[in-house]
Order: sequence, then structure tokens, then C-alpha cells
Amino acid sequence: MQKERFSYDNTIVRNFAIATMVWGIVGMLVGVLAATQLFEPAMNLGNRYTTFGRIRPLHTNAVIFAFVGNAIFMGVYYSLQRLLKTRMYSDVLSKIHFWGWQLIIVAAAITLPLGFSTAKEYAELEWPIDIAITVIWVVFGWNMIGTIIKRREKHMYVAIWFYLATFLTVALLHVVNSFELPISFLKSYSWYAGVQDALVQWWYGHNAVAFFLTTPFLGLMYYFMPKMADRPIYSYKLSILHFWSLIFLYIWAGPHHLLYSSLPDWAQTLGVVFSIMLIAPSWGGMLNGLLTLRGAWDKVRDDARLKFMVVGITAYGMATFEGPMLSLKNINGIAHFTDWIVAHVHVGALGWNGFLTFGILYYLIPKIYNTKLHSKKMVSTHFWLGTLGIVFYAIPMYIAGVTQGLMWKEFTAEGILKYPNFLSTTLQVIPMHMLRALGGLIYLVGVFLMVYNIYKTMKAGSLVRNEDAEAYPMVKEDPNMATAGYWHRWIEKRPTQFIVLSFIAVTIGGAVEFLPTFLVESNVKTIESVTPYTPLELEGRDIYIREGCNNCHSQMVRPFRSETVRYGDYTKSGENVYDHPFLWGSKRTGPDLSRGGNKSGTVYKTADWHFDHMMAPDSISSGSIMPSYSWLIEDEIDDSKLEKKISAMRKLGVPYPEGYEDEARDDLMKQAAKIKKELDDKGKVDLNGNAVGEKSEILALIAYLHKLGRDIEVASNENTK
Amino acid sequence: MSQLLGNVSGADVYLIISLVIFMLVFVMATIYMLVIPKQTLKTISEIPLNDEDYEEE
Repeated sequence: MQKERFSYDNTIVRNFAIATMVWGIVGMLVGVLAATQLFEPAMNLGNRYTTFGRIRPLHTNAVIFAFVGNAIFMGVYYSLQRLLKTRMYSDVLSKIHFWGWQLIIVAAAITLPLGFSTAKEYAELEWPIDIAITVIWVVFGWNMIGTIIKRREKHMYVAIWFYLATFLTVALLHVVNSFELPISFLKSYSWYAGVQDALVQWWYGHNAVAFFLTTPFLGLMYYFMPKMADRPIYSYKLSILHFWSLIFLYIWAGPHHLLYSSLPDWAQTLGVVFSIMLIAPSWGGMLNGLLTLRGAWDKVRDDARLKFMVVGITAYGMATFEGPMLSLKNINGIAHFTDWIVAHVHVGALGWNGFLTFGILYYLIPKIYNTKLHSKKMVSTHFWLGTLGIVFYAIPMYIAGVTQGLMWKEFTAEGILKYPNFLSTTLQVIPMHMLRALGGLIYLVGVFLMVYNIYKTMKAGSLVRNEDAEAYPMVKEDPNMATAGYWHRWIEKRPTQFIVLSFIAVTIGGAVEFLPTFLVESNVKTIESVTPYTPLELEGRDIYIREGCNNCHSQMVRPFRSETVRYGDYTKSGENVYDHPFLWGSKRTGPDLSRGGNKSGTVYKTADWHFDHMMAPDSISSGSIMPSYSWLIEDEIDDSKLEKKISAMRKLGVPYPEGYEDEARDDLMKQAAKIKKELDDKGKVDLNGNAVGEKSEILALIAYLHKLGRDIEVASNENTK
Repeated sequence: MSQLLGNVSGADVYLIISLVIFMLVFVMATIYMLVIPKQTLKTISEIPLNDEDYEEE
């Protein structure tokens, strides 16, 4: 039989590599900017587009989908062709994939600072972009599966299993979580409400980590680690067990993000149990990666690329041990809503995703440019800068997290909160936030060094656009050999079988979690006193979403004495039934706001207090790190879509009476006039000395903040009667 | 852990079903792993090293 000659497409690999570096720098720069705002709010540069609430989603999206996303595609396009001994299925699809993905990133970078957000973490992009993501993702899958079908290598190496599971599961997660009802070109409401929305969101959020940040990188580890160590993976058997257990278990663990919330107890426990079980496959994978170096550890001393791989894989091991620990209810009680979680994700992002990406870039750029790395010394310097950056980032954030978590809970001997003023707990951790920003900066300097090194490497060599290769065509199975390994061949022979099995594995967990919560009515108990938002409150809520308030303020009081004393009654599922989307948040840089409308409660603030606070937070709460939102006073509410919003909400199940659209605007103006009068009576004026406009945005936001928890207060008053 | 499991009210059936399903998947994956012939495993695990360009600089 004759070998066939063909070529690998290296241009697409180079393109994704450049995109990885460019977006990596952008995403991390935004990260450093966001980090500095947490001790110096003036770093929002005095304008609305760069406030923390808007650039935090920009940072997370840029790092996850732009930096890590492009890195995944770079590694997949490089390794898939070589593992299957064939060129990618279609160069055109590769190009559409590349440019489509970059356009999506640009669209995200424009819309997020402008305030177009769905408020769902790591899924903030609005519906037209969601559709574009779906289309481009299908192009990627089509190209990948096409390549698998026309392969010359009969076996599908385990890395490809991870790539396929990634494609399949991310598609499923993205589509289910992005169900939303469009109001206009860049505004939509989540299809789900309250606790159900939370469940879908964290099923997505958790598995975005699993299937976007983990499985594709495990695939890359299974390819690049043997390449760099020049020896096969430690145990192929282990990799099989690793794969099936990991993809099966991960999908169940989402509810650990909602511990102590109003999610049914059994669903929370399910999340905890499966999170603990996840340690086994995660560590199996980590050990499989590290032990590949057995007998070759001396290489690590000289090869900084391997240092990146080893520390990256170790960071994966640390993060996947810490994750299950954080899902234990007693630890979660302290860690949730604090910087501990931020530290946890950054060990994964900076260590696992970042370091593996750097190692792979240093490996494949010289290969496709047919040259040597410009400077090995620089790689080594980058490694140490990166490691130091992670240390400076993570340790202060752990200290900050534990400090704040404990301070929130501390009571005096007399039984009152020791730190009743939330702000004092924020101020306590400011030095840690400064160190964290320094850590991020050090890490970023390392990345700049890498980009320079790679630029020089590219300059020294020339891109081998089409790399010649040859391989025997795939032969038909010898029927005499068919008895041994039947199942293995059945699974990996055609990608279809494999995809179907993986699909079953990843959907079981989601189905067990979702179906009862969605179908059993008793899971979301209705509370009679809870009413839909008035038109003004609804507009206020949209302003809250636009400004990204949920990035710093939670709306979910956990059933701890320390929280009910500080904020008020704990959150029940029935009070969020009209919340499309839910706004529980995941971090308390500022206090919880869900009892802000509870007049007899501890956190109620009057309209004029809110006015002064939005104008200059520092003047009301000395030392506050919240930026000024003075534009809310100048700007008018855009109520042009009010009717559409009311009809959309009704479609989603909110009981506005038929025809209420016609009355909504009058009601909005009436309620606004009432709040305006309160402000006028207190002599509140805007920055130019003019009285507050009758349609000023601040009126809507105050109305919304005063709605939060009000209905629950009514309910408890009625109960006491 | 036992305390956590005990806290599930009324709906422990979901938890038990989930664990049973997982056990089945795990056992199936283990059996699957064990029946693959050694030679096949060796061949597959060497695929990444079979590129023409695998000699290191």
C-alpha cells in the first residue's frame, strides 16, 4: 500500500495563536484595571463605560472566551490534524470559525461596556451575539467532526474524546442557558425566573468551567505533555476512566454554587455529593499528566516549557481539590460571596489555563515557523514572573476571603454583630486588594515578555503554511482481529456512537436536576404578597442590570443568624418568581440589597440617601469603594420599550393585566413624581444645581431598590397580625 | 457526609438514583477499560509521538 501525501494547515494555528496573545493581553489589562478599582474607585476613569460593574464581565468574557477560547482552538487545530494524520476538513470552515469568533469577541468588547448585558455570569452577551456564538460553534464542530471522518488514523486518541465532549456539551449549555425573549436588538429577558433561572445559570456557569476551561485543556494536556516529555502518557487506561467519570460527574455539580439558597435541599445536596466525587477523576487526570514525566523529571530542570506544564497541571490539581472543599456546606458558609472564590478561580485561570497555554505557545510556534525559540532564558523569566504573579494574586485573596467571611459572621459576647457596618469589612481587606492587583500586574508583565519572545521567534523563522506529511490511508478492519477490543472499536470507530454516548452521559445529570425543579410545583412555593414590578421598578431593574450592580451586590440572604440580623429575613424561592433574570449575584464587594425596601428593616435607606449615595458614595459612607453614578441623575429613563417589556414579561408568566401596556407609562410617571417630590422636599439637585428631572434614571433605580424585600415585609406583617 | 445525606428531606430518591446511575456508568467504564487489548492501548498511546516531526531540538 502506498502512503498518501497531504499537508497540515498551520496558518489557522498561527492565526489562533496571535489572537490568543492579543486577547490575553486585552483581557488581563482589563482585569488589572478592574482590580485597581477595588481599592481606588477613581480608576473607573470617571466615566460610565469603565466602571467595575461593566468591565468585570468584560474581563471574565475576554479571558474565558477570547484568551482561553482562542488558545483551545489553536491547540485543537494543531493537534487534531496530527493525531488524525489529515488536514482539517475544510479550510473555508476554519477561516469562518476564526473570523467569526474574533467578530463575536469584538461585539462583546463593544456591547459590555455600553451596558448591554443579560446579567447572567459568563453569559452576559445579548441574544444576537448568543446566536452568532451558536452558529460559529457549529462551524467548529462541523469542521472537527468532518476531520475525524476523513482521518487516516483509525484510532481516536483520548485528546479527541475531550475535544468532542467539549464541543457537544458547550453547545448544550449555551443553548439551554441562553433561552431569552428579545425586547429589542440588544435587550432580552431570560426565559426562566428566580430560583429556576439560578439553577440553569449555575448549571451553565459551573459547566462552562468544566467544559470550556477544563475538558479542552485536558485534551491539550494529553497531546502536548507526551510531545514535550517525548514519551507516551503515563496510563492510557487511566485516561479512559478519567474521561468517562469526569464528563459524567461534572454536570451534576452545578448546584454547589447555590448552597443555602432557596434551591430545594435535595438539589443542593446532589451538587455537594457529586462535587466531592469529582476529586477522583480530576486527580486521576492530574496524576496521569504529571506521571508522564516519570523518569524524565530532569527535563523539567532545563526546559521551561515543561515547567509551565508541570505548574499548570499542579494548579489544576489544587483547584480541583479546593472546589469540592468549597462545596462542603460548612466551608461554603464562610467562603461564598467572598474573595476566596475569586482566588479559587484565578488559581485555575492563571495556573491551569494560562500556564498550559504559554507552554503550548512556546512549543508550537517554533514548530510551525521551523525555527528555534528566540530566547529560552526569557521563557524561564516568564515562568518565574508568572509563578510569582499567581502567588501574589492568590495568597492575599485567600487572606481577604477568610477575613471578610469571618468578620461577617462575628458576634460580640452580647450577641450583636461585631461589624454591623458592612463597609468596615470591605475596608479591612483593601491592602489585600492592592497586593492582588500587583500580582496580576506581575503576571501580565510576564505575558508581555512572552509576546515579545514569540514575536522575535516568528521574525527569525518563516511560517510553514502547509506542512508536508504522509501517511497510509485508513484500512478496513481485519475480520480475524475483530474479537478483541470489540467495544473499544465500536465506540471510537465512528464519531457518531461516541458523540451519542457522551451526550447521554452529560444530559443525565442535567435532567435529574432540572426536571423535578421545573415540573414539581411545590419546589417554588408562591408567596401571595409578592407582586410584579411596577413599570418604574422594572425600568429601574433594567438600569441595575445595565450598570452591572449584581457584580458587587448580592440579592440572596442565606439562612444564617449573622445574615438575617444584618440584612433581614432569608431569601425564599417564592419572592423571585417574577425575576427574569434572577439577580442573586455571587460576590459581596458591597452589602446584600435584597432587603433594601424593607422599611422596618436594618438596611432601609430613604430616597434622598440613595440620591446622595449615587452622586458621591464616599461622602455618605466614608472610604466606600463604590464609584459615583452621577449620570443616573442627569440621564432620562428610556421608556420607549416599556410596552414591549410589559408584554414580554406577561408572555413569560408575570401576571400583568391584559392591556396594562396602555396604562404603564402613566403609572411610571405617577410613581416617579412621588419619588421626585421626596427628593425635591429634601432640596436635592443635580450637579448643575437644577432640580431632579421628572424622568431622571435615579427615580427608577430608587423605586427598584425600594421594591426589594418590600413584599416579604408585607407577608411577615400579615403573619404577625 | 452521612449527616449531609441525612439532611435531604423527602427527595432522597433523586440522590439515590443519581448514585446508582453513576455506579453503573463507572462500572461500565471500568469494564470497558479492562477489556481493551494491551497492544491496542500501546498503539493508541503512541499516536502523539508518531508525527514525522517529533524529534526535539
